[in-house]
Amino acid sequence: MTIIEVGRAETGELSPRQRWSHYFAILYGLSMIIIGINLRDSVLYATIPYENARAGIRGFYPQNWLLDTQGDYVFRVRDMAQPDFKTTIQVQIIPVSAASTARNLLDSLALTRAQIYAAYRQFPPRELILPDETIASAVDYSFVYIEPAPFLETLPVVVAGQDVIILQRGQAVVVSFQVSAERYDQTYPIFQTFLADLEF
Amino acid sequence: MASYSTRLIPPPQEEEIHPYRRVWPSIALEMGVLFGVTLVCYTAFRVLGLELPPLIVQALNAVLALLPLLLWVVFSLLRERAVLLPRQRLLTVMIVTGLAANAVGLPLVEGVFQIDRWLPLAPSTTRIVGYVITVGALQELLKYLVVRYTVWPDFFRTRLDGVAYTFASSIGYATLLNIQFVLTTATLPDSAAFFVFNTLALHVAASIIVGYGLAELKFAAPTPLLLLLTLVLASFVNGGLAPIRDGLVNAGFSINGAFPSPLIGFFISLAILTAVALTFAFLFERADRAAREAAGGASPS
Repeated sequence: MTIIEVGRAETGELSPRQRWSHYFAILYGLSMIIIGINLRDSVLYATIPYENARAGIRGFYPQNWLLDTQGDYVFRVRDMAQPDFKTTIQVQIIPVSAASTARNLLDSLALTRAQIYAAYRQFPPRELILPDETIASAVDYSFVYIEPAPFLETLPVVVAGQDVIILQRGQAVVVSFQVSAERYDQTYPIFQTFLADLEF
Repeated sequence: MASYSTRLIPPPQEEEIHPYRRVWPSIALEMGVLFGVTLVCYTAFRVLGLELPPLIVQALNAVLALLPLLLWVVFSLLRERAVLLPRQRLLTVMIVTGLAANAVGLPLVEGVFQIDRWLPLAPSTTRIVGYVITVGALQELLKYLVVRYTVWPDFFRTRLDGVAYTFASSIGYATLLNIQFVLTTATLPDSAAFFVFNTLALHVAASIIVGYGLAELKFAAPTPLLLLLTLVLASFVNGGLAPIRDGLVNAGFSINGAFPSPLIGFFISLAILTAVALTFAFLFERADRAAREAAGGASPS
């Protein structure tokens, strides 16, 4: 038995209609990838403006983070969605004398924190140039966070932090970033964006 | 003496020979077996409360993850060899799609789109649109590209080749997702079976749609936007219906507690697949009939 297939003769060339169909399909796929990345950024990196005219500070903090202005700082924002240590960005203004240097302030902060935090370790300070060409001092540190509520029965968390200190007009602006060490690399770009947008 | 014309004697009926493997019965059989296995797992582990050692549970989950592939080999690939004109490169399409999913699809979804960080907690509209744009569009684009550059148009001989090849690509993609799920999630076999069936059902439904677009593009002269429209619809079926279905499965608060209802999601997946398959089977049949009539009308009688 022989079977003869009856069909169109293959020319090997695509018709313009077929070619345009594939162009549209590929264009659609690429457009969706670009729109998807854009949508991700608009959700993940959405920000809310914050302004404090009395302290002379203006900035943008991540959407859905909890704003707190009740402590001994200008403001603090925390990511309450984190399961263990809540990622924190805090802006504080400390009056300093004209003779004070950033090093004095860093030593003072280190002494204070060593009494508050468990296993506090500070790394050597370094110079940091902010996006507006301001020269600041930065210091990295780590400590162990122990959940104060015993009923939560959580393990201690290693926290990594960074302080950025800017001295100007008789005051020091201290911008602190603290995050669980496991998420440091993932979250640090948020802090960099925050610093880039901060005006004081 | 009366004489009878030989023209009154009906000619012997010749059995119609179909040279290609029939696609719809294969898909129905494979999905039917998978449906039955899922129900058995649900009854055994959820209703009867069967408990097995962790090692056996892991092995069972691995078998469930590979079950669509095994069923496809048995009911599609091996049966292809029994027909007069078997389809070529089905295995190639399946393997290349799996490799593309592993090399491009998963890294893009997890590393670039990072959907776990923003989509599950997003508002429902954003979630549905987000899944369509990211997961749905990417997966359908990859499957389309594999079929386009491995078998289309040279290996397409009938319209249903579009379904056969896109079904092979959906098996490749879904198998990879199943393996990833089993390797990263410690769960009971009934949950694994639900995941396997739900994933495959939406992938197959979306692939049937794209298969129609590819087949029409090969055998007819549709608008250049037809393939694009089938991809958009397939992206919605694959990406957009999943969060809607999962939203219906999620447990609601009640005074008796909160219990998720995976059976609802299971039957929704089955309903989506059935609706898409029936609709496009009708469209394929109509297009074939129109082509036959056009050929009959054009030929001198």
